[in-house]
Amino acid sequence: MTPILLAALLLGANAFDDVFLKANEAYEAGRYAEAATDYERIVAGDVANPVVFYNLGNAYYRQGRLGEAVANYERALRLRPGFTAARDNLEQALRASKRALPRPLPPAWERSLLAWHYGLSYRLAWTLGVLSWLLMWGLLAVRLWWPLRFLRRGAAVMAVLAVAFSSSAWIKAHPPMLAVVVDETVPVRFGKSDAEKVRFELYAGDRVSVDQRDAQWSRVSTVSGERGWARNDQLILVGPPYELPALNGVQAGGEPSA
Amino acid sequence: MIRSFHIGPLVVLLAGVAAAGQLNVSVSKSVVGVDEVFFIQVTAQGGGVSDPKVPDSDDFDIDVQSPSLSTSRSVQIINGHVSSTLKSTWRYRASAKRKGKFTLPPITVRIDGKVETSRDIVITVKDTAPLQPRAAGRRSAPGASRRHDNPRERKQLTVDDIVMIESFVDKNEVYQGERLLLTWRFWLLDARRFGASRPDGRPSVEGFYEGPVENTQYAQSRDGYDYRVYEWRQALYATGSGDYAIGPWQWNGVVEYPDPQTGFLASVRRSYRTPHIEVKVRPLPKRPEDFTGAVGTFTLRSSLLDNVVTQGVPTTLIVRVVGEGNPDAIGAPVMPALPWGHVSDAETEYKSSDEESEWSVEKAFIYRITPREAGALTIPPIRFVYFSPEKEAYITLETEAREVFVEPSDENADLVIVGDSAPREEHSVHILGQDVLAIVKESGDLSARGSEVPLNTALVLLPPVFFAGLYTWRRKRKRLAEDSVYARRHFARAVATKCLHNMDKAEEPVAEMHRAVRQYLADVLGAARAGLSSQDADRLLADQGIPDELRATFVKVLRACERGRYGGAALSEVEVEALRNAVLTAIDGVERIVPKEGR
Repeated sequence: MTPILLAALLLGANAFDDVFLKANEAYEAGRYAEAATDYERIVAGDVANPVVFYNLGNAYYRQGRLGEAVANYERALRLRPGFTAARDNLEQALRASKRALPRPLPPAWERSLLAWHYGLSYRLAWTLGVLSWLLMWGLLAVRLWWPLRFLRRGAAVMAVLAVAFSSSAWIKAHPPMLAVVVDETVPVRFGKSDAEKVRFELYAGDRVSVDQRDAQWSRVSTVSGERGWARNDQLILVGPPYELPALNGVQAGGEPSA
Repeated sequence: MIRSFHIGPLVVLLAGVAAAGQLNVSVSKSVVGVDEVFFIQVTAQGGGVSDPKVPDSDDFDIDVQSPSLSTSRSVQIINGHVSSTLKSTWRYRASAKRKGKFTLPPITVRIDGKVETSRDIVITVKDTAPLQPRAAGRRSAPGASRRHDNPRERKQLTVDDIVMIESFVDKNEVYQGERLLLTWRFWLLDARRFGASRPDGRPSVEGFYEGPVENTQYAQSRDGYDYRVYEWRQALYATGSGDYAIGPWQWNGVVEYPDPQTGFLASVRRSYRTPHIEVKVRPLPKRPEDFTGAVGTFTLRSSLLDNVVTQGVPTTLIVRVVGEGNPDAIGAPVMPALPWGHVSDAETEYKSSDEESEWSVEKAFIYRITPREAGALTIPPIRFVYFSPEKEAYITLETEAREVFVEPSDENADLVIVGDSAPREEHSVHILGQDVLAIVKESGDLSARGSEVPLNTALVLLPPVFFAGLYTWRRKRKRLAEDSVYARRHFARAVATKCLHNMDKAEEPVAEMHRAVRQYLADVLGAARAGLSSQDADRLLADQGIPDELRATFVKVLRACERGRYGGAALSEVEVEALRNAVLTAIDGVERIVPKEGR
C-alpha cells in the first residue's frame, strides 16, 4: 500500500515538472503560444510559483501581448519581491509599451507606515509574524518560573513584531486590485456604458487600480488619480485569483503562496 | 310613498322602493346645504343584477365614477329546488349645486333581465349656515399675529374660509438663468372638528429648470383665525427668454366642519384654483468668451492639497464656487494651460452651502495637476466669469496664484501623464522579441498549494492554549506548596487509598486502617489528625452535610478499629476486609460531596 501511495505522490509531483519542461522546450523552439498555454496549465493546477509567472510573462512578451506580459511579471514580483529578472523584464515590457505608466501608488499612510514591508514576500512576513508570536508566548511561559523584567519587555516587543508582520502578511495576501490593459487602446469612460463620453485613454501595458467591478465594467484609477470605467475584457487582473487568457479566461488560485 | 326621519347623518332617511323590494334607493339626508356632501344608496336584489345607470343632473353633482360597492349572495333549497339571490349595494357621493327643492333623477337597474326604476326622492337644499369654530388649542408660530379674542374684530366664517390656497413668485421679471422662487401654500383652519383633504399636485412650471422642492408647515393667523399653513417652495430658472407663465394650482377635495344647526359633522366638496402667474424673462447681454454659464451671485475660493510634491506625482487643486444660482448651470472655471505639467479634466461635486443663505449652493471643481518639471512652479490665477442680475453685468472673479514646489524624481526620466496624448507608435513582435531576459529553467517547488488555514489556525491558537495550561498547572503547584490545608485535601484520597491497600503488610492491619481513616477524615475536614475519635468524626462529618449513611459507615469503621486496637476485640481477616471495602466505598462517596478545591 505504502509504495503505491508513494509512487502516486511522486507521479503527482512530477506531473507539473513535466509540463514545465515541455513549456520551456516550446519556448526555446519559438512556440510561444504553446509555451504560454502550458505555463497556464501549471497555474490552473493551483500552483503559484514566481518562476512560472515570470516565464509566462516572457511567453506573452514574445507574442507581442504586452498587457499579459506585464500582468505576469507583476504576479511574479508579488510572490517574490526580490526577483531581479522579473523586475528587469517588467521594466523592459513597460519601455516597449506606448508609455511607461507607473503603477498606482498605495495610500500615503500605507507608504509611510509600512515602508519596511515592501521588500518582504508574503511567506517571509507570515513566517516572521508566527515566529514573533511563538516567541512572545515562550517568553511569557519562561516568566512563570523566572519573573524577570526583561522577559516581559521582550514579550511586549515580540507582540508588536507579531502584529506588524502579520499585518504585513495580511496586506500582501489581500493586495489592492491591480489590472493591466491588454488591448492596444482602451477608452475609459465617465460611466458604465459604451455610450458614455470617453474621459481618457489607456494603452496596452498600462497598470491601473480597480476599486469597483461588476460583470462587465471595472472602475479604474491611474497613478495620477484620474478615474473612469473600462470594460473588463480589455483588462487582465493581476490577482490572485489569476485570470488565464491562454486557457480561455479560466481563473485559478486564491491566497498567495511560495 | 315618501317617508322621512332624522336619526343621524349616516342613517337612511328617504327610500324610493321599486318592484316589490328588488330595487331600493335611499339618501343619507333629505335636507342639505349647498355643496354639502350626502350619499345615495342603491340596493338591488335578484338572480342577476347589472350596474345602476345614474343620469346627469343639473341640480346635483353625483360621483358616478367611483361608488363603493358591496355584494352578498344567498342560496335557498326548497323541496330540493336550489335558487340563489344576489344582493348588491352601491353608495354614491353627491352634493347639491344650489338652493331650492329638487328631485333626484330616476336611477335604473336591470334585475333578472327586467329594467327597474327608482321612485322620486325630493331633497331640500338650504344656504350653508355661518360656522363657529373652536380653537384647536395649539400655539401660534413665533411672530404670527395672535387670534382675535373679540368676535367683533373677526369676519364671519364660511365654509370657503376653512381652506385657502395661493401661489406666487418673488419677482415677475428675471434674466434668463436667474433664480425665481415659486411658493405655493395650503391654508387649513386650525380648529377642532374642522378638516379637509390634503392637497396634491403642484403648479405647472413648463419652460423652467427646476430646483428641489422644499416643504415646511407652520401656524399663522389670518382674519382673526388660526390656520395651519403647508408651504412648498421651489427655485426655478428660466431656460430661455420671453414671456413665461406658471400654471394654476388646483385643489379639489372635501371640507369637513361641524354643522351649526345639527352639531353633527358635515362635509362639503370644494374646488379652488390659483391664477396663472406671468413671468417676463429677459435675455442675457452679449456673452463674453469665457462665460461659465452661471447666473446669480457667487464667490470663488481655491485650495491646493499639497504644495510640495515630487515630479510626476499629482497634487489636487480644488476651486469652489459658492453662491445663489443654478448649480447645474455653473460651468468649470477657465483653467490656464500649464507649460510645466498636465491638468486633468475637472471632477465636480456640489452640495447645499450653509454659509450664505438657505438657497446658497457650493460647487467644487477638482483638478489633478501632475508636474513634469521640478522646481518652484506657479499655478496662475483661475478665472470665473458669471452674470450678476443685480448689477446687470458680467463679473469676473479670480483665485490667487499658487506656488508649488516640485522635487525632482529619480525614478522616471520620461514621465507619463495619463490625460496627455501618447505617441501612437506601432509595435511589432519583431521589436518585442528583443531585450527581455531568458526564461528560468529551475522552477523550484511546483506542487499544488494545499489549504494553509488549518496550519495557520493551529499556529495562532496553540501557543496561547499551551500557555494557559502551563499557567494553570503552575498556579496549582504553587498553591499545593503554599496552602497545607489545600494540599492535605488534594492528596487525602490518594494517601488513604494507598495505606488501605498496603495495610496487609503492616504488623497491625487494624491499627493501620484506623490511622488511614483518621488521617483521611482529618485531611478532608481540615481537622487535627491527633486524637480524632469516632465521635469527633461523626460531628465533623455532620457539619459538612455528609449523608447519614456515609457518616454511619465511617463511625462504624472507626469504632470497630478502636475496639480492635484498645478494647482487645480482635477482628478476623474477613471482618477487616469487609471494613476496608466499606471504607473505600465511603471515601468515594465523600469525594463526590466535599469539593476538592477546599473550603
